[in-house]
Amino acid sequence: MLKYFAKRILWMIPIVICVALLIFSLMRLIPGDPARMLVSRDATEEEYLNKRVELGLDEPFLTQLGKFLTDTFLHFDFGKSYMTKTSISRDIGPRMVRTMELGLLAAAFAMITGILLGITAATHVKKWQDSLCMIIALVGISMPAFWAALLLIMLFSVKLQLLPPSGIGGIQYYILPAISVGLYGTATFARQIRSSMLDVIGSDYVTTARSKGLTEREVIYKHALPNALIPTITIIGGFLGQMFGGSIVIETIFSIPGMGLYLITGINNRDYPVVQTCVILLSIIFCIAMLLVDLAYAMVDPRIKARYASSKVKRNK
Amino acid sequence: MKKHLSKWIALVLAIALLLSVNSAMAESGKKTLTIGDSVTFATLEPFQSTSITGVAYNCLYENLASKAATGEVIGYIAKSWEKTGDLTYNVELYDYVYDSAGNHITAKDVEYCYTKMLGVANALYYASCVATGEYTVDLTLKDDTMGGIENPLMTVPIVSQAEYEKSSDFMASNPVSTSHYIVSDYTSGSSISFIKNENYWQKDESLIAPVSRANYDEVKFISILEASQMKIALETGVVDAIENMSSTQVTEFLDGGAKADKFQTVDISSGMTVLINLFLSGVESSAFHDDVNLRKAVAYAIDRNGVAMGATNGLGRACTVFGSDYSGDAPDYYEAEGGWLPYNPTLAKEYLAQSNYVPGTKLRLLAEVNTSRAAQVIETYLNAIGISVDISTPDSAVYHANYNDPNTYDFAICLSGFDYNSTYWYKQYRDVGRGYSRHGWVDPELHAAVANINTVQGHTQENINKVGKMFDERVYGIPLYNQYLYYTTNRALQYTDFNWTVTGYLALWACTTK
Repeated sequence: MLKYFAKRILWMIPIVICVALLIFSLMRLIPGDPARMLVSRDATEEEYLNKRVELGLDEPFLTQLGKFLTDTFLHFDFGKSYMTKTSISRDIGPRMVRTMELGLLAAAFAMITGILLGITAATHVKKWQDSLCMIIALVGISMPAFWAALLLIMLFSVKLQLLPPSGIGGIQYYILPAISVGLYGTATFARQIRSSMLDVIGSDYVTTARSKGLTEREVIYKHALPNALIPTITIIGGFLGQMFGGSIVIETIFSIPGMGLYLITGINNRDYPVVQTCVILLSIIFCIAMLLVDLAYAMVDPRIKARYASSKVKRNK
Repeated sequence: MKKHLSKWIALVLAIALLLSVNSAMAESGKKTLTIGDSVTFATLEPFQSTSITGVAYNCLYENLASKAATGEVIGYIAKSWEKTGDLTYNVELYDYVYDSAGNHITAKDVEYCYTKMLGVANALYYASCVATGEYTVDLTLKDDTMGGIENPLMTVPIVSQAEYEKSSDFMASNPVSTSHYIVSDYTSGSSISFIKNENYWQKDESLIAPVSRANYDEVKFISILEASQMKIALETGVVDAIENMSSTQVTEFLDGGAKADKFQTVDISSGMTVLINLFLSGVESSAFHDDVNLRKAVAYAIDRNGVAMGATNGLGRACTVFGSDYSGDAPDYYEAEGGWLPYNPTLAKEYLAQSNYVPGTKLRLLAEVNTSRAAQVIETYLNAIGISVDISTPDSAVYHANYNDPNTYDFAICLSGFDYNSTYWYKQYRDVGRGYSRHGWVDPELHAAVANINTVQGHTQENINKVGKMFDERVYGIPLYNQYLYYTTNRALQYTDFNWTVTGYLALWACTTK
């Protein structure tokens, strides 16, 4: 198991370097010039060229790339933002915390509501509760996050005045954004749990549990649900990616200064160091999330665990 | 299951309610003002090439001087100034200026700040600043352009050199300034909070500029990036005032609007010109190159009232002169002629018939996202006389790159803010050093004429009219409309005087409101 973990960690290194190479090259291939954004619209050609020299953009592509890779991966120096001239390492810390908070809350919301809806639908299959839960899931999958966000703001901020419409502060500021981001996950989890539960409910061991005289609640939550959750673990990784993608729009709507907003501002301003840093960090987070998902899958699935155990036994022999 | 679900929902809502009530209680009890702004407040570093603190700047830093509502330049840190040479001014500072950390500001600090700014920003109006005494500096201008000493006095924030160099992040997050407010809390990208500086250096009330009066205990600026969220923030009481609400949102708050009973909106367009212009490309690949008939056809085909109405929901004013109607230095003969090239589709068709335009050829129109509606209205007018248009509205970075390359468009919509028409014309139609103007026009006579009216001596009505006639004949550009600018507040906010400065319009409310 430890070898598997170490192997996966080592695999992350070439993946992150490839991401770094890609984002570095892509940023320089897309139209738009950071020096143009920094000088005024009425600046002379000389002022514009001076700005390019100041930013190091006049140097050959490979020189810039070498410097970027050395600074990032050997010195762990992400550089300074072109726009603000502040250290990206310093700026990105609190932003990453906010995005993670939003992401975790959204994930918690998505999983709790998704599991509840999925179980309700599976235990009331072909009844009105099933139809209602699946309609909610369908709406959750179909509704764009930004639209859901605006509807939630209208209801909870403008009409009911229960929650703040934008900004940051206590946890109350994260409730609407988390629901907006998590709604898609709710729907995905609900559909997956319903499907898995329906498979599991008809299994022999569930019938055995019932025949032992256990209550329906015990049968569902102690015997059926743990096994039905195993396939769901695989979709958590993909959900995390969607969550970070969705947070870019949601952070803009709710004016949350997180990674998403930092990234989108960086893209709009062609602030290369900011975009490169955000993408690299997001790729690391995503790799770690996928690793944890795989490990969790190996832990909960006895067949995978047994395979590692048997290979260990063979080696010992 | 249903019973439990409803309990969970009730619990979540109850917690949310408690949290919001607690928050509201915590914020009460102090005289505070909260302002919504679309700026992200990415850094508070004083020496930046572009303004990234927006209206909060006025609470953040002080310059040597600033402009009052009357247009008069009022000294902040500068006590007085006088011209001592062709381009040199001697500026005397108050000898008792201190920042909030107790550092004494002297001429050496001013020299340091002006020199520092020269290294980071472009298009500055001064060449050097040298301390000549403990409290005097010599400020030398680059050239004798319009605006004279005003712009240099108002563009550089003054801080203590020692304090700036001591700061680990060059004051990006914890600035120390001479301002009447002190930064109490700052979240990069989100908000800045200020508290009143009880030890503000200027004790003589008669010498405190209106914008430097701190009448609130706390002032907070919140970044709100989404247009509809500005309106919601104002309605729900998250902010007391909004700077420059978009035309799609502000209508309800105007007099006679659905929400005018609770909110007030002030138009400050006369204090700040925002002109939307259509610049024609003069490079050889452009359809307008060497085809004055096509240029005139386009000018006469566009109803500028219609563009102003369509692009701004009626919250814009069509240009009647070549340039901004709000600037005081436009040609003065247009009134007699019914305005600059008035809408005349019949005449437009006649010019088009005489032009080299091949029907079906698409003219490339470049616009920013925020002027895309204007582009669509223009397309409609041009289609009406038989000109086809291909609109391009790229993101801001691509727009900037393309705008500076007239080979990429036939005409481009540009939004600009400025004081003098003459300065604006100079920037657009001067020789950029290669024999042609920014938009590719080779016209030495016009290059010389716009350079002349941008000097103090050459800035006469006669010369301005002469340049106006050149524009009438050549039609290198088409002024479209002035965008109205609004500040919207709740009616609980009473202000004694509506005023404005060059650097911080709404910030002033935090200072003059009682």
